Amino acid sequence: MTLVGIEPVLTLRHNNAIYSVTFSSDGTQLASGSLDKSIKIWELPSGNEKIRLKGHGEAICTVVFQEGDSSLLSASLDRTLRVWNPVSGELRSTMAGHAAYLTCMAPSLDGATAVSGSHDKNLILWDVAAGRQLATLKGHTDLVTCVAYSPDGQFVASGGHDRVIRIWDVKSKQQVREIGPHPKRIQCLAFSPDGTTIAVSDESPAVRLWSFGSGRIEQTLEEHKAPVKTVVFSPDGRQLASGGTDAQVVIREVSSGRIRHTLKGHRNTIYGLAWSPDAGRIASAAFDRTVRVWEI
Amino acid sequence: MLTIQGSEFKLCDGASRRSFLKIGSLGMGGLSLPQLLQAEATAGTGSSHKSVIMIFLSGGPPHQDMVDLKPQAPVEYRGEFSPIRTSVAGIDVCELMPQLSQRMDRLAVIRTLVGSEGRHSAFQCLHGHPRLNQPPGGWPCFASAVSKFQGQVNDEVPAAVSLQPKMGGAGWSLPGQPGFAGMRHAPFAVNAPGSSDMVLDGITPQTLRDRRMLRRTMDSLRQQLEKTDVIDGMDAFYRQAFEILTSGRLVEALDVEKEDPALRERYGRGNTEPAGYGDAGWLHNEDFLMARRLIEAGARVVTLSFGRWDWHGQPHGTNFDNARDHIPVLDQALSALLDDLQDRGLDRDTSVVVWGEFGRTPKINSRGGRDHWPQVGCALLTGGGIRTGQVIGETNERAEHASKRPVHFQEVFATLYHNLGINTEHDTIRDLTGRPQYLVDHAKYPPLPELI
Repeated sequence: MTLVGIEPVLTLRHNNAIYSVTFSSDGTQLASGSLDKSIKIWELPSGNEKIRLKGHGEAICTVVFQEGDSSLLSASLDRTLRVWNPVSGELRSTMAGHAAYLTCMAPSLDGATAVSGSHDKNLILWDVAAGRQLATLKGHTDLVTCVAYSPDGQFVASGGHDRVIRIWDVKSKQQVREIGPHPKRIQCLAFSPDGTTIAVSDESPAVRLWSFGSGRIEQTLEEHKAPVKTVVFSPDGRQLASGGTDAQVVIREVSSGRIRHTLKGHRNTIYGLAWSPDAGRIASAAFDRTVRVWEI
Repeated sequence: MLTIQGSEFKLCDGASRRSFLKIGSLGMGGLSLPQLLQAEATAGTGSSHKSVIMIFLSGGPPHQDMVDLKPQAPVEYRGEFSPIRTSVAGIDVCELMPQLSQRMDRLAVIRTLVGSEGRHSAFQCLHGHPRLNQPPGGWPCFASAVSKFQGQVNDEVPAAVSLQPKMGGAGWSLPGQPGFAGMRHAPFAVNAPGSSDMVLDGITPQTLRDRRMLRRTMDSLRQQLEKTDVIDGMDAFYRQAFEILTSGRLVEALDVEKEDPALRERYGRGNTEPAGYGDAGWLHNEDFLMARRLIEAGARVVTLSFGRWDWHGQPHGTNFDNARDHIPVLDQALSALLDDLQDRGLDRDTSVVVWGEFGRTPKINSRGGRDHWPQVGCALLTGGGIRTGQVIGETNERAEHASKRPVHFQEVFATLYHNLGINTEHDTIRDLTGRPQYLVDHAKYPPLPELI
């Protein structure tokens, strides 16, 4: 069954495009990062703005709550990662290292480390608590657009304009595999919670589900009408949400590929998606300057 | 520009050179009333008040994604948008412009704007000339030249007003230089730093008058200045500031709160956050409304900047993301302005031009952007008596260059001057060496015959 016509329960605004959105671990807060250089933290379900974090010099590409929501990690095109107190707004630390736009960041599941990717073609592994670099991962031959940690923390997957998904071993800090290539420049990727599948999209409407074990395509999902910019699995791994240039969120059952919801309302490209911890809500961040929260 | 309360405004007690010049940039009309009436009679404009609103799309709008779509071009050229029909048969525009499409009978589209110097700057769109190799004293911007020729309509509102905000990209926030037209014809820059408060806070006109007298007595700097055409009339600057402050008419014109809320909604509010990367103008729809109010109050030329149109692609959104962000807002604000001018009967006397410094690359780059393309760009024109409902020029199948009827920036300026009653074939302003300078290269660039 495809449910069309679901309205967002909240529409939250920035003064410019929004690239990233994330729920707190208890589902009572939402954080969003924007091209307006600010991070906003919102109360749920009211949608009231709790605090605005300013300090980044460029767009914020990724925000994530950490340490039981007592900390917020952000990454920006200004080439820095920053750790904030999300209650007081205090900036706790700043980590810099890339030589060009930092375009993507992902934390490890335990929050101890993070990985960032950049237009400088490199990835950097970070010790978040110590605020220092652990390693620079070199191998991409063009700019990097997306990174993800495997759920067990052993691997990092990255993609970019060289069209290859590169798998890095965190311990050895070496590239250990390649998956692909994709037909076009890779835009986004996500690990399934069980670590068996990587969902990837390039500059096309298709989402490809790659088996992490075999390195083969398991499914190709082609419901979107325009390039997909973000994919994310539900916490239980049974559903996959995707969004992109057609301004629609498509939610499918992974096992069957069947579409469960198509969420319409955004007026521009969707760049960020997040599931609430209970999988009852999904938040979408778009270039139309809004975050929309949907109950599904 | 002009702040009474706070520390920046030192009108009487120790004005700095900087603040002195700031005050000096308030334009004071150069013509007496009889001269003004004579000039209008010569121009055949009667007693009406001819005016121009210049809307600068800072960064260079994508001509092929707005008014010159090429749906038959290869995919890496044609982009994401489809053309839609307009109220004029045979003219299509971008699907993101539904409101303007229904007003195409009131617009003239130039698809072949050429002659861009390829520089990220408002200079060419405000002055009509390249920035390099200027005559002594520098080219006056269009608004300053108009102020020089036609003076003010009244004592309370400058002839030339700029709504450009301060921007990170300095070339984009240029309000226009007075050049050899003289400092007193510099555009009054409403949104320049320090201009946020133009109210008399606890200062009476009498107090101000006394302080002005004190200032006049104590300012030794004034005595050191030669009485050239560029720096003469410093008293006039203060007189002008005084008139503006005491009349409140300019301040009132800038106060859109006085407008009907329904009309404000029609324009759309926008916001004053820098658009795009944060280094350019804002998408402040109410600047369009403010421009109309300023024209109504007596301004002859109002310039404004709108948005950031320099869309090179990721990671700042693709050209098309940004187009979906900006073009509908322009569609709304410009449509509202067209209607508002028409409803008030101002459209016959007020010309509007909308353009940027260049077009954008026909081929989409690897980051989903379009880069700078000085070879060809576009412009929209309306009002002031021009013939609308037409397209001028034609580009090749990929919108790479003008294949028919290239139109130079200076031809547009010549047309706007013509609409104001200024004859670019004869009227000149002397530069600092005393040499008469034509406003445009008139032998090459006459007013566009298709429009006048």
